[in-house]
Amino acid sequence: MGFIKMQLSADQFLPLEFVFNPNWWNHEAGIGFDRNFYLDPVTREANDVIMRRVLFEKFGSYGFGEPNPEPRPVIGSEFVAGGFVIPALLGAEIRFSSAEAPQPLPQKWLPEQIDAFSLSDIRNRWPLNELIAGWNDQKKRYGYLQGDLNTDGLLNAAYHFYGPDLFSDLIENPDRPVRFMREIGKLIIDTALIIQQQSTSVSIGVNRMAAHLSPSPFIHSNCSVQMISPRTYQKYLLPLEQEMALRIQPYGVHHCGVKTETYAKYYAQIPLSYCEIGWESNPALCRQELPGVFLNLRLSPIRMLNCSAAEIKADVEFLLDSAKDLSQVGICCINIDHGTPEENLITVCETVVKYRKDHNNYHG
Amino acid sequence: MGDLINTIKEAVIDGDAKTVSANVTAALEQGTDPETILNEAMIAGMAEVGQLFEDGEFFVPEMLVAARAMTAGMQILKPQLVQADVKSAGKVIIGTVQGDLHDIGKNLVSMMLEGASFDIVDLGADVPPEKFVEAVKEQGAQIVAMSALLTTTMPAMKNTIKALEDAGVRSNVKVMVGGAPLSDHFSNEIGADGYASDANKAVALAKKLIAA
Repeated sequence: MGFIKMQLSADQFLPLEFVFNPNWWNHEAGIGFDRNFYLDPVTREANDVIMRRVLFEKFGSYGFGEPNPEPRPVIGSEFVAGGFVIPALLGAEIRFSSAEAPQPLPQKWLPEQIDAFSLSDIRNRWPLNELIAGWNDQKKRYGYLQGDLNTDGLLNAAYHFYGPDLFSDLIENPDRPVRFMREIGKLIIDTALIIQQQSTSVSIGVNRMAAHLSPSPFIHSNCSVQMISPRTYQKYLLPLEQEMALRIQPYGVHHCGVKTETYAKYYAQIPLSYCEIGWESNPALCRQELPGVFLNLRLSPIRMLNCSAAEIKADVEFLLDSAKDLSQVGICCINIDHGTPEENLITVCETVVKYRKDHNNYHG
Repeated sequence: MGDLINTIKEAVIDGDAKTVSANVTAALEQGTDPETILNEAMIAGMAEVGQLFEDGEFFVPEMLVAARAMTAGMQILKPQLVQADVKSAGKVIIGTVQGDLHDIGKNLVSMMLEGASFDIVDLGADVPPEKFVEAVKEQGAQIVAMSALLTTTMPAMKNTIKALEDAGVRSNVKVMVGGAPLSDHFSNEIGADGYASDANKAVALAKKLIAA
């Protein structure tokens, strides 16, 4: 089975995305990230309007936000990446707070609980039941829905319930974690398919870059994959992702860790249409392993916070020069915190604009 | 004796708890000095594990099974070490700071310090400043080690140091910090005594702070 090549909108050669964290939004726009932010449709729509307006006020000249946004029926926020739905469906208590992403409180399940785990009828489990009731209300008001939810990842979600034994069992007793993660994989895809029935996207809530691609990809969060070796990934995680990719396409991977290139040859076997390239990776090597795949190059939010504009400009140039052919490339920074100098964000925008112009001058 | 020591060391690196236990027992029965087993087999093995991690050869699973193998050996060795009055390298109070539930990095540092013969008081994750203060007062530790994964929880490190100052116990301990978003600059800025970028470097830093 081959991967699906996605198309970019014509005016979006080399798309750029910023995703600010709740602390940034809380300080810059006064938005609170309590339970209602995620679960109450009216609050969600009101905040969506504020967020689009604030983005326009700050970065409108670079294509962000809208000058006069109208309310729209978003089924999840399109401007933050808080993954709580999958852990909540698994039974985790979620801690919401005003200026932080929702945090699933860790639970330590017994081995027997892990072995017995299976989920069905997820539409009637919290929070999907509450979300779906809200979506039905929005559909009555607007006639359609848009946007999506963050659907998390296998290792990330499993760790909340399995604890550190998850990692050691991958070496000593792999059947248990693999079975558990296979069940979580089914849950993730079941959830994504429910969203897909309602909306035109499934993973803007993982990375806003998904909004620039058509068809918009499903993106699986491999945040924790950098903690296991590429060999362990190949043996135990890759088969699970291959199963997931059979159920939903186009399929993408969110790899925010270092050295994406060491995993890329395995990602190529999923099959894959979209791949995020974590900071401190080698985009050129990733491209060799993933020809034709849309590569979303990640800037470091920590460097954005701490470095000078000149250093950030060099970061952007390094990524884009390494990737060479930019026709299937985007660049983003996720989880930008309050205190990040706006000069750095503007520098990213201006550097990307320069590459776009250079491309236009060359290609006409 | 050398063969047994080497077997134990290799078994620690391989995460083979059964071999570690069997050979620690055998080495003790042969009359090997417990401190030699500790230093030349267990600590040396974990030091190599730390280096392999730093070099990108080992990942979290390999570290965890090695640490477990070390723990299995220490359960046999510890009574002998106590009897021989072998002192630990120092006592470290460790925790992920308030607001932050991420504990993998903290656990790795904790197990590497334990592998280097430090006594560990692990306060867990989401630890409020007052809990660090309380532990410092009660435990007689030489080091407080704090972890944070999020830029939003980094300020809790500064708050914790302030709480230690306010409680009049800051001078009793050295404070070391670590976590993905941190840097030497941040460590200096908040008045910590040192920053380590990974678990292996944390061991070196802890030893340096104890020696200072």
